[in-house]
Amino acid sequence: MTVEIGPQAAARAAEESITIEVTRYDPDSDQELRTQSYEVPLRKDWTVLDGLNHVKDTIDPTLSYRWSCRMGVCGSCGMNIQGQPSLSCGTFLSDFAPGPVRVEPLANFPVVRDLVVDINDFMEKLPKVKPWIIRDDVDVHAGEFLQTPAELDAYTQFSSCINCMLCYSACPVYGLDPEFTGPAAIALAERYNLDSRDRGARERLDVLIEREGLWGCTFVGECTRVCPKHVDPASAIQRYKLKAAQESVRAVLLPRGAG
Amino acid sequence: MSAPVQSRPRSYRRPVSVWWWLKKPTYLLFVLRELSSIFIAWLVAFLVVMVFAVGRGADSYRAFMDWAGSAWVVVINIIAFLFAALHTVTWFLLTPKAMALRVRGKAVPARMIIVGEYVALAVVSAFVIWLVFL
Amino acid sequence: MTSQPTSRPTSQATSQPTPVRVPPRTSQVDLHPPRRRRPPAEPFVWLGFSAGGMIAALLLPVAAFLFAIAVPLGWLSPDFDHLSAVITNPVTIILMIIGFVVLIIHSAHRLRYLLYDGLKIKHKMLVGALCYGGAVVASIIAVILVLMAAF
Repeated sequence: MTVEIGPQAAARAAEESITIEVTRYDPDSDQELRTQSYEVPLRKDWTVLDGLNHVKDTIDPTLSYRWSCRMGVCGSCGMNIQGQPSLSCGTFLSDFAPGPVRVEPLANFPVVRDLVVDINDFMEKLPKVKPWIIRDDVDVHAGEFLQTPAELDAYTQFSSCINCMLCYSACPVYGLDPEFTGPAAIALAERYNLDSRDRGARERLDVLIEREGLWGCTFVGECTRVCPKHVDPASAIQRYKLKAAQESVRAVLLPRGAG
Repeated sequence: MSAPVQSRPRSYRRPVSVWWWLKKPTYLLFVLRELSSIFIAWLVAFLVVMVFAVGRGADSYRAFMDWAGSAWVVVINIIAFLFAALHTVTWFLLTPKAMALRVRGKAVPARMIIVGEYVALAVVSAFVIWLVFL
Repeated sequence: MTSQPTSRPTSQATSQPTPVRVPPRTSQVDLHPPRRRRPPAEPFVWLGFSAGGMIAALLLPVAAFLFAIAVPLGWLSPDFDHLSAVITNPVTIILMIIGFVVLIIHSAHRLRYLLYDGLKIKHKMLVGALCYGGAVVASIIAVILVLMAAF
């Protein structure tokens, strides 16, 4: 342990601290989740992630959690902070002063260990909506596809998704109905449907139109409220519902004609 | 050394409480909004029976309105009216999200659509009042 | 860090390049769910729900205020003969039938999700049958009563 001297050290010694109450779970030895409290310095520029790193570095190295970029673009550090799905790298400790702050694993996902959750369900659902450009007539030598600013504008917002899954955590339907595809996956399907380069809308529709894949959404809207990148998945889903309904009507009225 | 019982550690599934909708104000508003559907069904039943009473003649209409004037029916109907208003307000806020209207290349802001809906509400209401009272 | 020599086409490539056909897509994830033989019902129910929701939003506030509050409490008194004439008008009858049916669909659809998600009644088939079945029965009764009133 280093001994700090000088005026900065004296200031640090006198600074406030805040308690974070972290969920702990060791799958090899625990039957239930438990909570462990840690005191971390309350510095005005510190996020919850900084607090967790402080815990792991200086207090308890056994604490497990995911993080990477620490600047809100990788989507790794999602957790429930004071009951609200948030990115730990974007949530400031000082917002909760004097504390304590509850830090729990991301809701609606099984807990693997401490704050690490099992996101396999999402990883299985995402490829089902085919989130890539579907197009067969690619001529590589003709160069790249061109898009006007208006065409880019049509889907840009939905392409901002960083797969952090805060929306899945906020969505009560996802927590209650395992068949529901979920906000991010549907928003990403819509992102590709709206992309002028894509020709795969029909293929995606055939997957999502099945039962509760898309229709489980009851427009609670919480997904949009918690999204850190302002993707507005709720809007993507409602627009998709409308398009799916229009397609279904067209399919019934003009069975093979309109394509 | 014995063979491992399972290849993955046991993950912990947290159950969702039946009171999940009390945990956040936005969840509560959502459930109230959905609850309005019950009162919409009640108002439909009320209006259908009223139409039927009108068809049976002035006496049955008067009897129906006498019943509708009794205390508990009025209370239920006031509550139903409040829920119908809640439905209208939330519905008008949600519908712009389902459509991305573009006029002359620019996106129509949601506020304009919502104002348009309230204008339609005023027109429809005025029409119904005119129709009934002439 | 190893450096690998990159191979570049030499100046022999002067002929017209042929379009490259993208090889067929293969995947280990099952991307092809079993196809339904008939079109799914959900989109149409949702359309009915949306229509009912819009009609409820536009019509029910004034209808509820007029007929459920103002008239029973005596604040307003529409002329009975005029009411009767409006009710028996064929246009009104058709609009009322359509309106009541979509309003019932709207309520049934929302109630179904309220029971399933809100109260966590986990029997999807049972809840669906009760709600939509109830909607069918209620619609039939409503149509019969409206028609009986008219004739």
